[in-house]
Amino acid sequence: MKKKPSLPQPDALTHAGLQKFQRSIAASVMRPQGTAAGAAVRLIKPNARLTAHERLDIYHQQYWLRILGSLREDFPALAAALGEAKFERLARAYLAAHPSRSFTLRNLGRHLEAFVLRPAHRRLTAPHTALAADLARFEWAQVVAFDEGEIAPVTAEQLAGADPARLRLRLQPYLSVLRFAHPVDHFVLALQREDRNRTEASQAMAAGKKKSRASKKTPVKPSLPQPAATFLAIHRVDTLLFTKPLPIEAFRLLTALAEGRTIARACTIAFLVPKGRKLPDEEVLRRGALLQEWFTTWAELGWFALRK
Amino acid sequence: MPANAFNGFTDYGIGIGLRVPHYHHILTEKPTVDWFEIISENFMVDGGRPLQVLDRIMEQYRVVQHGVSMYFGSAEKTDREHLKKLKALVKRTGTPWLSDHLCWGSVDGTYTHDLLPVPYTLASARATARKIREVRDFVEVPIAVENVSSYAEYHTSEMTEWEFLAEVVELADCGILLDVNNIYVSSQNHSFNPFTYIDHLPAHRVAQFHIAGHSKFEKYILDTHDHPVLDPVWKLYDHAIRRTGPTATLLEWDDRIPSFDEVHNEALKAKDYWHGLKDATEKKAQANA
Repeated sequence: MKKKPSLPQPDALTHAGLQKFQRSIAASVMRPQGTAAGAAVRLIKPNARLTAHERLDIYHQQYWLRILGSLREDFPALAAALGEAKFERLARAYLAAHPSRSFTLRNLGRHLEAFVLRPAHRRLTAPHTALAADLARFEWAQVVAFDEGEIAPVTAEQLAGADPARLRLRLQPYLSVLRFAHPVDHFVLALQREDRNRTEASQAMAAGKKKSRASKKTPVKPSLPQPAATFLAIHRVDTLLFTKPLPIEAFRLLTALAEGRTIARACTIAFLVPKGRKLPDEEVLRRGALLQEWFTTWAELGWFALRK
Repeated sequence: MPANAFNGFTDYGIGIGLRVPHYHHILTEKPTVDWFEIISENFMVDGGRPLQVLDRIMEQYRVVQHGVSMYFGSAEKTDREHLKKLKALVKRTGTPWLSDHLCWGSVDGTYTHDLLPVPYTLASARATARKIREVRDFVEVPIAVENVSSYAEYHTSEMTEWEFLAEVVELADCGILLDVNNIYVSSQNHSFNPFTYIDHLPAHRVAQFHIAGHSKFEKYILDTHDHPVLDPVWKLYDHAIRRTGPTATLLEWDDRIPSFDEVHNEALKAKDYWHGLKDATEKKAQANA
């Protein structure tokens, strides 16, 4: 077929042309909102009801609705802490800097915590940047816990007779062991309670029970948490997500195992003892009992696999 | 045609999309459903709830995989890692055919997560067909490509959408997932006759149908999948199955999802058209006799 002389460029009459054509349209569809549509408008035909710009704009609007909606769905606690308007400003800036690089929207929030913490972006979350980073980290860990893979947990037989000075374990890929500057788990739980109250209240209203106790409840947004060092394991059991608070020693121990240290070394790191200081016998016994209790629980949860 | 090479010679009936709000109902009530369509990408994960639920569903039901990110019409090379994940899921589900859209949506590794219309040129038909063949050879199941709803047309297009679809499926030797709602939406947005579209397709390649609801705005129609199927779409469906015969049909309902029963009952309306077609065929045979 002959090339039409008056076609706007790039056309899509060759493979190279098709590539340029798609780059031009995609750049316009994914551009930050409120900016000019660019040269792609020339590639679109108008019709009797819509200009070329308006037709292209349908895709542009749908793009932002889709990715903003997806990020909002994955970070409800962050949105609640910042407020919807502030969250949307953060989300727009983040998504402009980090458009999706994956076939699935599941990975959209992977870089959100790092983005929040960058000095140039702190104004987007000020004065709650540290809390915002905590919540971004926590909610991303929940995404991971939801559908990350599972490897065969270590068995009692594999552990029997193993030398703790040589044995190294790895943690399940779906498990995140994290340190936070705020008790984000309490905040998220309070939000979930508030959501439940709101749902019950609205269901009661819908059922016409306007004088019921439920309908009188006015959901109150939980107050933002005050700073307090918090150590959490975010994981799943079967299909349900759980958050397990950890003592600092347990956090150190799990982190050391995740880093590939032997069990013996990880236990030493967990309970740091100043050089030359001898622990009382009862403290040695207490620590031994704690270690036994932790390892039993974590092994029952299937958190460990053998590191090869 | 009901059972053909493009749907793995199966004769599936009326199915619905497997959606999260219905999981509990399906797993506890075990309603009778011909088959479920799953969105492949939702299950191309390494573990957790999605795969556990899928395995439980597959103990009771037949599933067919439908994708949203293969982007057959993209000028980019196919992502081999993506294909490997897709093939692993194909092996898990035993899907008799695999469908995805006749569209593009990513450039240079960045994804719009939209189904953008392809410019209808010979160059893009060839590139699209090449990619469909490559995917089919890799995953080793028949492929059906779905026509998308569109809101824009390009100056550069050399043919109509139906000519382009026919060209692609002939070059790729693949099936068609014919979405009659998408034909209707695009026909209203671009002022063409939707019956002409259907009449010009190679009917023997139709592996499956999609039906769905849409939303009408002042100047255009949007494919929203949040309503029952509207009358003009049922009319198109009726017209299409007169060409293809009663073929595997699936209702898509993705937003403001009502109860399982409401969705399933809406899908089962398609059976009325199958019965109507059967009656008409019998009457014709009697008249000829």
